[in-house]
Amino acid sequence: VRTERLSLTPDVDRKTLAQDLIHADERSIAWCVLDRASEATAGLVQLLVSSWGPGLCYQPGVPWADDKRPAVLPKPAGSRILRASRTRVWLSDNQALDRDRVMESLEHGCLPLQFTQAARVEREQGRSELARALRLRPDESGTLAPLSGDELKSRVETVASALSTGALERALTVENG
Amino acid sequence: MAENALRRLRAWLKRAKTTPATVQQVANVQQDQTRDVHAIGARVSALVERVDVLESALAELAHMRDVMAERSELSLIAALTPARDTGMQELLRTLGEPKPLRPGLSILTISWNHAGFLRSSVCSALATLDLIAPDEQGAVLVLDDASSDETPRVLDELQEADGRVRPVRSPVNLGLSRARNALLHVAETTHALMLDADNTAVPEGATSLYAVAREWSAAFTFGNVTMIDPDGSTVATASNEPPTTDYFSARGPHIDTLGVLDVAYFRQIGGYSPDPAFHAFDDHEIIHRLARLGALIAFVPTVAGRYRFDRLSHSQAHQGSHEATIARLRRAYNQDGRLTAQQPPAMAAHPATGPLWATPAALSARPELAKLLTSSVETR
Repeated sequence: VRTERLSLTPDVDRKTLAQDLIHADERSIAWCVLDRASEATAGLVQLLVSSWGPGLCYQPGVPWADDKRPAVLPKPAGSRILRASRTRVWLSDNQALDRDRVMESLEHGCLPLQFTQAARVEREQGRSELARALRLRPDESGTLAPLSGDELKSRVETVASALSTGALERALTVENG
Repeated sequence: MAENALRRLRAWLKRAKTTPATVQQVANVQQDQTRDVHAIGARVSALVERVDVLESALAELAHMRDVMAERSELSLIAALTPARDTGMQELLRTLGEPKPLRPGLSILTISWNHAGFLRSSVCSALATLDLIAPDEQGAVLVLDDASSDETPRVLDELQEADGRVRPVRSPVNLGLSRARNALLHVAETTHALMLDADNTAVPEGATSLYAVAREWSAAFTFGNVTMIDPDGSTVATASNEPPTTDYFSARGPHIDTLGVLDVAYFRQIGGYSPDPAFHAFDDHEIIHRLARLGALIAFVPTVAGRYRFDRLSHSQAHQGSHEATIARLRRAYNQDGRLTAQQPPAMAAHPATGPLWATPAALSARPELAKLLTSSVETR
């Protein structure tokens, strides 16, 4: 939503964050999107609503009236939205994971999922389990398969484990150069 | 052999003597050509400038065409007004006195020749009611605004399939505002979702609006509306920000009609404005009026519905009135500058998060919000 991170817990250690993440499946909201309003963000939200049902979405800005209008909802509102959601999804053309969004989500006990268009993903099979757990892509028909309880749990455990051992930070460092 | 060499030398010397003149001739030709190129360049520049002027003139003409079309439409609406007023009075007389309101949610849908979209809209409305407690389920009230297509037959079929669908037929075309107000008149629940026939509700999102509206007694509660092109592609998201002072100085509205209304309050303020000047912006007018009257407006950060973004739709076909409407709204509600100086009573909340944000006016109207907004964010 903004340039600065929504971190409320800068001093929390990795293991505490990992323990928090393990409980993500207890949250009532399947997903959230926190990104500026655009055709692309609207398309992602529409895909998520159609595939996973409604979630929380805050898309600040009014492109056709005032492109630079600042977000109305403040940082704590973004934090509350993240705290209520099992996953946080964002759209990215970049092959590397968005480090800030990944950590921001984890600091709120929310599984980060970087959505990448299928055609732009290469060598998906060659990715590590951790890299796959943090990524989301549509199937060949352009829809998203439902994120089952088992799959969510599997992804959360993979990410929590990597977070507690420091493997996640190393992976993010490698991906982002 | 020596004679040949001498002949060639003489010829060479002769050519050498004439070379400067030839070079001069070439230079002269080049100078002429350079001058011609410059002259052509200047003419091209002049033409480009003229094309720019023509393009501006064409854009201005297109705008004038839209404005003239809108003036023509306004004249038609003004001419229709007496008949519509009479039709409204007769319809209300036929419908009888408003019934007492019970806690619950109804869906209000107006339709003029939208038979092709009506099934989807009504099905999404019924799915929304299915998600709330049976004793809070109201009706899906559909006003057929004197349609000349197959709307009556489609409505009969929908009613036969589900008794919660209640058609209301107006023999006279009332136009948007009066049609909405007629449905507010027959609603029997405290809250109503305004869902136009070419829109569909996202049931879980729409019930979240209802939950927030009920909990915080908001006059109007809205959530994100995804704008979908007729070809199925996503265009944009509307209703994505709560109103602040910026909303009242912006070049265009972003809050759609789709939202949950406090029926009693809307009746009290006379419902939607039948002023012809607002005929394509009745939703924009109502936000101005609610803000001016100090009514609470709530935003829910979830997708509540889908809007069919069609150039032929009522709102899109009347963009020519945009500037005039904005000017009239400012004159009607913001001559003293209050709307653009003081935040309106607005808040954001979701049943899963609780309150997210509120303006000082909202905090003043709902003091309990302050404590909830300053409490620490729960871990899980």
